Amino acid sequence: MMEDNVTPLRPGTAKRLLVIDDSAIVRAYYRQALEPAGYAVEEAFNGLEALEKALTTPFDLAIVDVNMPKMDGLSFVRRMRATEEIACLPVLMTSTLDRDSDIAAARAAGVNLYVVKPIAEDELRRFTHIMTGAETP
Amino acid sequence: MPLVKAPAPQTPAAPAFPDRASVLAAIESLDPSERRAAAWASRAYADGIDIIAHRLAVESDAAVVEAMILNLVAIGSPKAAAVLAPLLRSGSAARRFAAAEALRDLGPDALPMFDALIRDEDPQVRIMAAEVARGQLGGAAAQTLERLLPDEDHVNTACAFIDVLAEIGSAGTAPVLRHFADRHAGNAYVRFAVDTALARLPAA
Amino acid sequence: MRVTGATKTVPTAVTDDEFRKFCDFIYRRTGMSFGDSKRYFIEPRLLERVAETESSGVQSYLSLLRFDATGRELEVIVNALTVNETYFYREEHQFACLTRSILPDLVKRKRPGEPVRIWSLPCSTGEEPYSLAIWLLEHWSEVDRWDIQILASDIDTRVLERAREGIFDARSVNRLPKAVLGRYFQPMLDDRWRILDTLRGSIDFSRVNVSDRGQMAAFRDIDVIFCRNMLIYFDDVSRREAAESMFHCLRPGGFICLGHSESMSRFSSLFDVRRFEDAIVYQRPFT
Ligand SMILES: C[S@@+](CC[C@H](N)C(=O)[O-])C[C@H]1O[C@@H](n2cnc3c(N)ncnc32)[C@H](O)[C@@H]1O
Repeated sequence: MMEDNVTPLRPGTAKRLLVIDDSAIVRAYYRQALEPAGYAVEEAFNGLEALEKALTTPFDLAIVDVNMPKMDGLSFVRRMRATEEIACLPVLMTSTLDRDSDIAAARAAGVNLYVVKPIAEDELRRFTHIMTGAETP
Repeated sequence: MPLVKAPAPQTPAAPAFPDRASVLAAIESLDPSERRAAAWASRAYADGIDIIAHRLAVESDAAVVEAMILNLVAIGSPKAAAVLAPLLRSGSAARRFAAAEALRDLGPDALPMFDALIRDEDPQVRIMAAEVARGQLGGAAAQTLERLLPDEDHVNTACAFIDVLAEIGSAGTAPVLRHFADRHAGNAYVRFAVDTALARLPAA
Repeated sequence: MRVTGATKTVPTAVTDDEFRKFCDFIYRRTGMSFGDSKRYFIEPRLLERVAETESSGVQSYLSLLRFDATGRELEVIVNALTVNETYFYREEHQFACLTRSILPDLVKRKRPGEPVRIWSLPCSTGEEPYSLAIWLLEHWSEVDRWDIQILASDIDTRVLERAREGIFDARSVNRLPKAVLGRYFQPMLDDRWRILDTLRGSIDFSRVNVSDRGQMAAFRDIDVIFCRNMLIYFDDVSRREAAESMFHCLRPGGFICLGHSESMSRFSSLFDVRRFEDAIVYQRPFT
């Protein structure tokens, strides 16, 4: 159902990323930055779709936007951390909000790393490598 | 065989609200299902929007909020838009988007409100206002975004405009986008967003 | 374009404006949303009704629809526009989920004697509710301990008639194991199959338009709704309204199963998503 757009470059070893953002352009940006680096990228439009996907496929990292319809990034992370099967998924949160209170709220929800948008591609790859423990290709 | 036939569904209980006063009472009830029923019943009254608006501002039950917003959209009118607009500033993302989505569903009735919100001094409100324009194909909303994009100095807000223009823009949107990309040549994300948007616009 | 016959003028095409007005009318009444890509499907059906009602054109047919107090013509045109494709044991994994996970979860909270209410909405020609009945009899070990009520509804009166009749062609029963077919059906001479009367009598069929709040309000305390392959024909606003209606038909803690290509995630956040061994389903929260 949702396997169509996953193209692992190194079958078997590719780390799986779940990119969660309501903007199709942002998702495409992450995909073109990360796929060539050997990641398998799956997309979700909001927190609810992300929960459904995370519950059916194992991922190594979720890259999560904050401002999204139906279920926002913080609610997604809270719900995920409270759901046994997916509680341990590492989360990189990206946001346009840069106040200390925003960052504190993210940390309290269980976000592992918080980055303010827009993110340069090499930075994105660096964080992703570190957070997934992937060998640099 | 253990399966039993269900009793034929009871005819719906006669509407619990004989008059406007009972709707007003129910919309403040402690029972969420009463409040929801009252939201649906308000439709029948000329001041249905006011009845809902009053409670919506403080309502916290998600299912009741959903019923209220669906009814505001169903009643329609610029007045419904005026009730929804302040919710774009809500602290809850779910509520901000619910309001933006409802304003979008109101169509032309929301246009005057959109024109004000898209120029709001809070860049986060402008981002949500751009969401209202999504789906308003080929209309005045796209032209407004095109006109405002060059002067938008919050880059994330500008990116939200580009995101929406990629969906609702016309061939005439392209020069505006190119111009913006040139001015932000150092920003790789902007370049990518503009290229992607250009590829999605209808051909000239 | 109009072709002039011997006695009357029969329209043979629909203008863009007429097409839009007609789709808008159907949308408001049913939630079904047709874009230009469905025009090839709508147009011949619409023109057939224009001809059969001897309307002078699409415009006058639309007035007939609007002012027909009996609702009879609306019923006929809606019947013509629905897509009723269905078959026995469709997406079997959801039935497995029902007996393996959903029902055990539900009955934990029930007292003996309380009914278990399952609603097939939409049921089309009946394959889905009959599949539910058969599956429960075949696979649920506790089937004898509970009163199970199976309700089945659709907007289309023609399919409801066929559902009540309970006669199915070979294609429709194709996925049923031979033994099951033998146990619950009688073969007919023309390669069709008639379902046992006891099963026919155990299902409560009714006409319901999901987009009609008054009709939906008559259904309460449902434990599980199978709402498969209908919302795909709706637009987002009608999907949200349908989800909101169904939410209130369910008991707190009740479940909705959607078709396998469908998801609530884009249009409603009222439900919790639950992952069971065989399927993803949606649950009305307890509070
Ligand atoms: C493709 S069938 C699905 C049947 C069955 N649930 C399945 O998945 O095999 C879709 C059905 O939805 C019904 N339908 C469409 N709009 C409806 C509405 N507003 N209310 C109730 N039923 C509707 C149609 O009449 C049709 O029978």
